[in-house]
Amino acid sequence: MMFLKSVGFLYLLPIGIFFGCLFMYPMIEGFLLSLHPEGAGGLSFANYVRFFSDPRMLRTLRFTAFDMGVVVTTISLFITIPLAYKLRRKFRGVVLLRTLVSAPLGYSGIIAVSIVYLAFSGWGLFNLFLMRAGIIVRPLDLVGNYTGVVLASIYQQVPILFLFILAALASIDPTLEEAAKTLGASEWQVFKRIIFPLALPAVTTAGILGYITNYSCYVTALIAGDPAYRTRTLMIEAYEQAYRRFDWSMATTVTTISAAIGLLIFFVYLRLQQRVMRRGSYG
Amino acid sequence: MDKAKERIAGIPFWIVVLGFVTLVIVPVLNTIIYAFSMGWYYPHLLPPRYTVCWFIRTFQVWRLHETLMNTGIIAVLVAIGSISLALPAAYALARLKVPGESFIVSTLIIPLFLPGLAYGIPAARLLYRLHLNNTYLGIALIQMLPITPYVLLMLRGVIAGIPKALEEQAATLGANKFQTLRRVIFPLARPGVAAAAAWAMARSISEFALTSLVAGPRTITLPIVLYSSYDTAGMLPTDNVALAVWLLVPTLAFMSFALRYTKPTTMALKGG
Amino acid sequence: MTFLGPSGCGKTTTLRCIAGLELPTAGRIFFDDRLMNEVPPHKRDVGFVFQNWALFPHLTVAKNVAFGLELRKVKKAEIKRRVREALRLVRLEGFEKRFPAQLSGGQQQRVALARAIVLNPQVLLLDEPLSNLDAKLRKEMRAELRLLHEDLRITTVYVTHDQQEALTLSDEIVLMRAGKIQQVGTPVQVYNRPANHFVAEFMGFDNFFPGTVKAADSGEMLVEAEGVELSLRRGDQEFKVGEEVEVAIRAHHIKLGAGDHPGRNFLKGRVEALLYQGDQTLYFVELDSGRKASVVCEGPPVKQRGEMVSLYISPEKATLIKL
Repeated sequence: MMFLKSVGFLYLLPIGIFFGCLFMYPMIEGFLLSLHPEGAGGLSFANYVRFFSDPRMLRTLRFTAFDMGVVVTTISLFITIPLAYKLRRKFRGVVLLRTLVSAPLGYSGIIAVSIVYLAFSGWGLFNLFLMRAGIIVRPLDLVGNYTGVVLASIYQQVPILFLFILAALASIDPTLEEAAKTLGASEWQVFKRIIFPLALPAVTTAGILGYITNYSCYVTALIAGDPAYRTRTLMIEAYEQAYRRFDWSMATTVTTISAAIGLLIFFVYLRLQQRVMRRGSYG
Repeated sequence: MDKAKERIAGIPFWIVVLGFVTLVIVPVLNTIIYAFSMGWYYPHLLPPRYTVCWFIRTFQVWRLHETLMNTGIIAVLVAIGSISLALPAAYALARLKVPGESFIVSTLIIPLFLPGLAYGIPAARLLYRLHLNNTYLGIALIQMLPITPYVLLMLRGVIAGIPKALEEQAATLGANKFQTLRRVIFPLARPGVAAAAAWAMARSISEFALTSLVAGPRTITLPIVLYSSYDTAGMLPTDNVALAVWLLVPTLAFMSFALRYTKPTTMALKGG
Repeated sequence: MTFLGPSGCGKTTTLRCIAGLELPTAGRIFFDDRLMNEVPPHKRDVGFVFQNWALFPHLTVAKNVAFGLELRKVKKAEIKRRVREALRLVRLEGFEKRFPAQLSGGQQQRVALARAIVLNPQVLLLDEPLSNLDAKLRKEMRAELRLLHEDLRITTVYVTHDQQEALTLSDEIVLMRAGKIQQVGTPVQVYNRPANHFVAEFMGFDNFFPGTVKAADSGEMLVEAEGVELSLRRGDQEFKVGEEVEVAIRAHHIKLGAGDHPGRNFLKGRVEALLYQGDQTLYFVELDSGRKASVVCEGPPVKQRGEMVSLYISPEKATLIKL
């Protein structure tokens, strides 16, 4: 009641209405729909049973949650962390390198996927160059498969993670590194014992955000991958259920399952944020 | 001896750096050269001839003028809509004491943590029922679902960045709430709001997945054309590229404008 | 040894060069006989205490102190023993499990010290370690540092801009200004016989009277300044007759007397202003020549504004500075 009385309530009303009508209501409706499978005529978990007993569906789930979520995120982090580490202090040309690395921020989604797809396809610059240089004879199979999806994904992801982790690394007091050096630590030891532990909260957050992005993959897998078989994500499955097979009940089943997983990750993220707030710079 | 060892230890790092920079440069280079090329096949390292015919084709074959108009109108709608919703909320969250503030913010940013189609497909159903499919409004509404939370976060930062002391000072000088808003807050918030608007437009222009759920023959946008150009018979990779360039340029323009005013780490969720 | 000087004079930079954190543009650095220029900092066996102490926030006090020992693969039991001993030396027993964020400034500083000395380095380098502490704590820590140094007997290089600290702590002081050494000497030497005007001013000399050498005997010097002949005790420097010099003397070394004392070593002037400072009084005196002098006398004011006074320049307390 106190909330309704506060002035803030009025300001939040428009966005609240929008959110309630266009997000919450359809989500709840969708969930209810998933419980009314086609031709079952009533409340039933048949769709869910179908989902979890169909090997193809399970494979899609595994691909989305693991091959995309875990593997691609890990690859992105393994690329981003050295990048951010090398570019965290000022030296000649560092601004240029930083800009280059974060350039793909300027465009994403279908644009990014398209240009990566084209560049690494059979007639793209990359293969052309390698063939001209005599390194390969036939174009490499870099797109239309998992590799293409990985390339396109890290192309979009690394810039964002980079800026995030760069900010964290750059904020580490340089005298801490110097102190460690005078105490006898080599560069690797400084990284392992001082820098990485202090950057861990940021890296973890970046990892979670990266997971969500990869887990939600749709356009990237659609264009740069093989959506019918090898790089089928949950969202591709949901779309086809709705728009190709017109089984909206099944479609909302898939969306509900993926939303549930997404919410789970969200809660993990919130808990981590709370921990960082309470414990300060190290978590 | 030691210095040499240390330098070698640094090499893997630099390989990664160089590797990724290559990954960034190649597609852009490829796109630009390709879009103007004619007959560019192996073994030519560079196109033998250059042309702008592909861009002309985009108008003739792909009805680009209509598509551009659609895309632009929707983008403007999205920008206006998301800012109208988010600005008051951002003000309330930044300035006023709202009970349960963190809960509210957490709820409002849930769409950022879910896959687009997970809330898009249910929302599309509703929009179909309301006969808003194949309309500008419908597409704008569905795009606003992920864009508004982002704009909210950005604007909250912008308003929080205006020192509260300025408002209090205005009050002591005799300004009421409305005058303070008009003369103090709006001018100071303008660059930030402009940046958020630019970002929203860039995001809207490049949105494919959600748009494809409710689009129709009259409301084809550039991303949809780009996507369909992959499937269409008689498509040449160069068509693809020309369309991509049409998409690339405005998006880049809006994004670099937006990035000049906001810290990119607040936009930490994108793509897919 | 202390590097003393104003901000920007290069004392910290020199210290960091010794540690290997920065590369000198010219010159060589030796530890005993070993050339250190090419040796990276983590191989130099120096202990460095930073101005902001640089304690690792994610490690406990014990882990901070043990950091260097762990890197050297010292055995666990030995580490525990040495850490405890180091903390005992800095009077922080029992603080092992605390985190730096829970410590006060003085305590953090002592942890930083313990962390450096537990490794028994060849050289201990301290970069203005007391400048982040309040005045009272600084006084306490000064004494503690001196005692610690005498216990441990490690070669120590200290950097500060505070002359009090330098005087208290040093066996030898190096005064620096804008990258150049101005004087090297013991605290007594630097305090009483500054080598040039800058050092004199930095070490607290208030009054400078330009003059000319009239006679330079074995023990005594005659200098004409302010229209008066001054007889001064001669120091180590060589002066020629006719040389332009400065006579420098501290405000509290000048004796104030009634205005009608003529004679050697007496300057005459009029009191322009005075400031009561509790247990002493500061007088601003305008001399006959127009120059201003500062005189500090113990006790409450004994002269009034406008009064004619005489300033006695003691031969032992004044010092001559070459120009």
